[in-house]
This record gives sequence, structure tokens and C-alpha cells, in this order.
Amino acid sequence: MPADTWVYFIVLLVASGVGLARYKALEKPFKVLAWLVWLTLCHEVAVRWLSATGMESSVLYVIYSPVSFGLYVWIYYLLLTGPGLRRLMTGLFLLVVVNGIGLPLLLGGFRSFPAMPIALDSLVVIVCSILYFRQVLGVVSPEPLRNHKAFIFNAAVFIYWSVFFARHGLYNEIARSPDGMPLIEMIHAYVSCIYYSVLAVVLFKKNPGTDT
Amino acid sequence: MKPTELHLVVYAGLLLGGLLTCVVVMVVVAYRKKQLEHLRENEKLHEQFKAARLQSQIEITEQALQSIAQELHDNVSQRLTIVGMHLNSFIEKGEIEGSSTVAALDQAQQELRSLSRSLSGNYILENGLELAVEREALRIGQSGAVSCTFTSEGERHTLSQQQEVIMFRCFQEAVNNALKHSGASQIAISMNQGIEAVYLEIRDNGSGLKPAQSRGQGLNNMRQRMALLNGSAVFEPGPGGGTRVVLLARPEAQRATPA
Repeated sequence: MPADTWVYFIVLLVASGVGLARYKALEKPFKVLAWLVWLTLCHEVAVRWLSATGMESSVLYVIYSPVSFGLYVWIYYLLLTGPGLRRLMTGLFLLVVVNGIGLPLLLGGFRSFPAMPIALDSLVVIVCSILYFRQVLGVVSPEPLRNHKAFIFNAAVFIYWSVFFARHGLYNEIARSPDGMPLIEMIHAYVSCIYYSVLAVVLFKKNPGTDT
Repeated sequence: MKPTELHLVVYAGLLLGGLLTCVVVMVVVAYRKKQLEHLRENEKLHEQFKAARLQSQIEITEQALQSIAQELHDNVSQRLTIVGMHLNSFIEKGEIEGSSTVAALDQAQQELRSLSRSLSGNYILENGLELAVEREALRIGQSGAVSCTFTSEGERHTLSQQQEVIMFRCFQEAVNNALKHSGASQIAISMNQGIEAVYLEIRDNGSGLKPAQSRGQGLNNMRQRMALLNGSAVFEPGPGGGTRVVLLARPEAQRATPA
């Protein structure tokens, strides 16, 4: 396993540990975030283990993808306020679940990598993060933004999933080149390391005046 | 895919990352801008609230002083007049010898009338600030506790009625402070009326202000009241010892308008 993948695992492990240690003190959306990080860790371990034993790992993505995106939408359901937005989030949650299970069945079963559903789900998450930015700009509090855990989380989600979406679009093109796949893996590892480090900070950070 | 195309993809990815970061930075900047606007609005509301509270305090105090002045004039003074009439009739009948008592009673009545005038806001409004200050200086001088002088320069300038009353009350408080706390034997009051502002200076030869006193609630209250007139109250050591208080008020038309 390359060094950057090891670093990625260590970061994931640290983020999971922070989530576990701070779980009781976390607010509900961040409790869901902690589950998401644990799920990702379990998924990554399982994928590497299946790959190492020479078994097909695509089926894991078919399970992981709708569950993880469902958790993202749930987090935004808790973060976004307003009756209209809540209804929209419920709709998006159903869409993510149906998309995660229905599309793989239509496009080639559970044995192939669910590229299209993941691309659609990441688009849903990007839309959620934009809605959250809109909400942040509508309600001003005297606290600086760097102290808002939810804003930091949202900024990280916005950048990570936008990059992920773009990478997904160019996946086939890059994969054709012999240097393409290692490059994709390396970029993914670096970006994920930064992303999960930020999530670890979000789980570690105390919200001023709310959690302990 | 050729290596050059691969590099292009990497550069495009970096560009995308940079653009996305820019979007987040823009959100932060927009939020900060809104936050500052919100803060300014809050401060403005707070200032307005403070000014309104001070204004109502001044009005309540003015009403209380007015009713005390009325009471002194209509009730206590009338009773003293009756006592004086009775005393005079006894003296005329030769029943008692009391010319010095009558003189003392007259003096008490005069002082009471003068006190009633100085408490009454109407008296200030009817006679103007300059005359009210002059009479007050005279009253203090006549009390014999200190020697009090009054000088005035410049043409009479129009302050609003409310400004005149507030400035007069601040002046009274400054003089009262000098009498009560400084141990002064001389108080010099000078008034300077310019086109842009009216200055009222109260100088004494007393012990001077201690640092703790200059930050006291009473002086702060005077500063705030003068600020209501878009003016100021300055408390500083006098040139030859003692304390110098300068009250400044600008006429309504001279008030700075917010940009």
C-alpha cells in the first residue's frame, strides 16, 4: 500500500477516534457526521481487504454510496432550517436512496462500480452545501465564521465533493492513460486526507456556548 | 491520454480547487460585511436607546424640580408671608420687639424665591440661559459661602429651550460639585457665546479633581447629557489649581448631520 494511502487511513482513524471521544458532547448533526466517518473507515478497510484478497469490491460501493449520501442529506436536514427546505431535504434523501439502489440495478447490477449514482449523489450534496451557504448569509450572528463548526464542515463538503464530481466526470478519460490511475489515486488520497482532517477538526471543535 | 493532456487535467483540477476556495472566501467576506453592518446597526440602536433613556431621565428630573419649585413658591413662600404679616401686626401693637426677626424672615423669603426660580425650568425658558446663569451666580455669591463672579462675552445665541435647560442643569451640578467637594473659596463663571457654540466655564480654586472623581458616575452623566446636545463636558485641572469645567453646546442648526 502506498505511503499516501497509509496517511489517509491514519487521518480517517484519527477522525473516527475524535468522533468517538467527543460523541456525547456533539450536537445531533455532528453525531451523524461521526457515524459517517466511522462508516467511511469501515468501508475503506473492507475495500482494501477485498482488493488484497483479490475479490470484487464494487458491491461495497453499492451499499456504502446510498448510506453515506443519505447521512450527508440527513446532516443537512438537521442544519438547514425552514419548512420548505426540510421538505426538500426529505425529497433529496429519498432521491439519494432510490438512486443508490435503483440505478445500479438498471445500469448493470450490483457487481459494477456505481459511477453514475455516485456522480448524481455528489451533485445532491453540492446543492445542499450551496443551500447552507445561502442560509448562512441570511442569518448573521456576532460570532466569527471560523467558530461555526457547521460552516467549516459545509465549506469542506462543498470543495471536496465539487472536486470529486469533476474527477468523476474525467475518470474514464484519465483512466485510459497508464499514468492516469496512479495519479487519480494519489490526488484522491491527498484531497481525502485534507477533507477528513477538516472533519476531525469539526468533530473536535466546541461550538461556542452550545456543546461542552 | 497523453502526458501533456494529463498535466492539463491536473492544472484544471488545481484551477477548480482554487475557484471553489474563492467561492468559500467570497461567502466569508460577504458574511463579514453583513456582520459589520449588523454590528453598526446594533450600536446605533443601542446609542438611540441610551439617548432616549437619558432624555426621559432628564424630563422626569425636570418635572420633579418643577413641582418642588412650584411647591416652594405657592406653599412655603405663602406661609412665610402670612407668618411675616402676623409678626408685623404683633410688632405694630407693641406686643413683641422683633425687627431683626422680620429682617431674617424677609431674607429667608428672598432666598426661597431665588431657590424656587433656580429650580424652575420655566424660569430658564422665560429669561434665557444667560440671565439664569447670572442670577444663579448672584444667589451663590449672596449665600456667603464662596465669592462668585460671572462674566459673559459674545452675542446671545439661540439654543433650543431643551438645550438651555439641560446646559443650565449641568452648570448647576458643576457649581454644586465645587461647593460640596472642592472646598473652594472662589468660583468664576464665564460664558462665551459664539456663532457655532455656547461655552460655559466654571473655575474654582479648590482642591482639584482626583483621578477617581473624574471617572465618577456623576461626571459621566453630565458628559452624556451634554453629548445629547451634540456638545461636551470637560473636567480638568485649572491653570492655577482647582478645577476647570467647560460645558459646550452647539445650536440645533450647527449639529453635525450623519453622512
